[in-house]
Amino acid sequence: MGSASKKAWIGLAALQGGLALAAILILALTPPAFGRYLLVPLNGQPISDALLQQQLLDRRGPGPLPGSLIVDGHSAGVAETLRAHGILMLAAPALICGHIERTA
Amino acid sequence: MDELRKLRLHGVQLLTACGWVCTVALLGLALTFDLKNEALAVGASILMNALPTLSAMRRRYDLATSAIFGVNAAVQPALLVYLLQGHPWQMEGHMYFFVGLAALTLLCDWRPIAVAVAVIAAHHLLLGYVVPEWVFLGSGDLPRVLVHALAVSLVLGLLGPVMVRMGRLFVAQADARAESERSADSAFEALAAARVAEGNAEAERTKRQAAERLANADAHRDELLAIAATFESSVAHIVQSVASAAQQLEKAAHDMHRFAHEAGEQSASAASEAESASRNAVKVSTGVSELSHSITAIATDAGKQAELGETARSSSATGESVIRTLTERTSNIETFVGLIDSVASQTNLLALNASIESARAGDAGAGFAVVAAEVKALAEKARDAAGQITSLVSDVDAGADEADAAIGQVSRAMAELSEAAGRMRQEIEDQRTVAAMIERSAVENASGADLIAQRIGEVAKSASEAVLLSDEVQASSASLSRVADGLKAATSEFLTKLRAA
Repeated sequence: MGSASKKAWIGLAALQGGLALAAILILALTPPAFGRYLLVPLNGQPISDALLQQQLLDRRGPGPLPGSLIVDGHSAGVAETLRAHGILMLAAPALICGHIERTA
Repeated sequence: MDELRKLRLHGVQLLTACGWVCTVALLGLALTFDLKNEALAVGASILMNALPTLSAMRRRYDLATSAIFGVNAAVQPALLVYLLQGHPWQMEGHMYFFVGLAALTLLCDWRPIAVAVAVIAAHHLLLGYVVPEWVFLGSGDLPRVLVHALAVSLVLGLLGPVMVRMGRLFVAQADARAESERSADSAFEALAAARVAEGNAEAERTKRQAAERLANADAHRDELLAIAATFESSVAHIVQSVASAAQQLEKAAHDMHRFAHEAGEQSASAASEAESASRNAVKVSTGVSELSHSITAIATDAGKQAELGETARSSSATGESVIRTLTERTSNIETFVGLIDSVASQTNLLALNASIESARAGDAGAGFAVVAAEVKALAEKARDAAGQITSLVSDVDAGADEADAAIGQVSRAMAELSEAAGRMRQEIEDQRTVAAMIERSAVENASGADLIAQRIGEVAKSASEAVLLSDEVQASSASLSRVADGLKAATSEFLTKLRAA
């Protein structure tokens, strides 16, 4: 009983670490109010330029995932519209997507 | 349960509470400063508090639990820094990493601190590359992340040995307490053994003393008998004396009670009589006072009477003088009447001569003769009137003499009456003086009677107290007599036992 309980608590400790990592990643990938974003198409279809122009997003280049794009713009109201088109809007990690030069 | 484990379980509960305080604080900050992504941050905080709460409810602490709390202590400040992203206070949020590390000292264990330091350093390095603006305001860089990692590592380097040392101290303290309790138990056992040994020694000593007493009993017996005889003679004499004295005292107390009772009754009677005498003296005083007032009224009337007598005597003297003057005037009237009578005689003689002359004249003197006859008649009438006046004057003179005699008698009577009134007033004055003396004497007698009654009342009170005192003396003497009897019996019993010993 003692050994099983100990193993269970070790698993719980690992779960706590996993939760912490997940929380940090989720918070890290949550799109900011403005800046660089990574657009990932969940349905595998390419993202049209018309949609980007409609949402006032500037294309910066291809993303690390197949069909993904790196764009600049604002996220207010945009993430919900893109999700309706099967596109996930994430914050662009600097390690992958490069730094954003802020002017203000 | 050892002291260190109790301390760590207590720390688990406190740190769980601190985790929930962090959740509430994050929510408060987000609402206050209108921060973005507050739902994600607060939800992550709640999620991270779940397993620590489970540990606190199960009262469990081990390596896994310490790791859970270490992760939570690193993640809660990270959520604060994330929530302050873009806010000027984002850098200040990093201070709470050190607060989290300090809070882990409540567990008195270096392992959760090491976990927290590892998580803090790792996620700073990771996020410094992935989302540098998430970590620092503006762009982050590796040196700054390394400085932070170094700082938290130094915290571990300082707090870790302290925790290890403190844990050892708790263990040593628990061992010392256990050892002390074992020593105390040993001491109690030794004390019980010593008491048993002391009891055995006391029993042995009692046996030895009994044997010694038996050995010395014959030697002391004769001496005890001699002491008993001496004691009996002296104590018996004393007891007899005390009993006799107690009986005499009881009799004296009885007599004193009787005398005091009689004295009380007589005092009460005397007090009653003294009160009656006082009331009578007051009545006498009142009567004498009224008599004095009456005498004063009589004296006043007598004075008035003397004054009236004096006035009457003065009036009678005045009447006497008037009557004397009247007598003198009567004498003068008699003189005048003599003159009138003389004039009437001469007139009669002249009328006779005229008649004679008229007769000589014949008819010529007839008329003259008539006048002469008339004159003669007038002279006769004047003589008659003078006679009548003389008779009246004589009557008046006689009446004046009688009045003078009567007034003289009245004057003398008035004088005697005034003299008698004066004597009576003097005597009444003397009587009033005597009455005032009697009144004062009666008042003094009444006061004296009151004082006597008061003194007699005090005597009666003293007699009553003497009765009570004599009762107490009688009771004490009876008690003394009983004590003497008891002493006599105890002495007899003591001597009997002493001789039998």
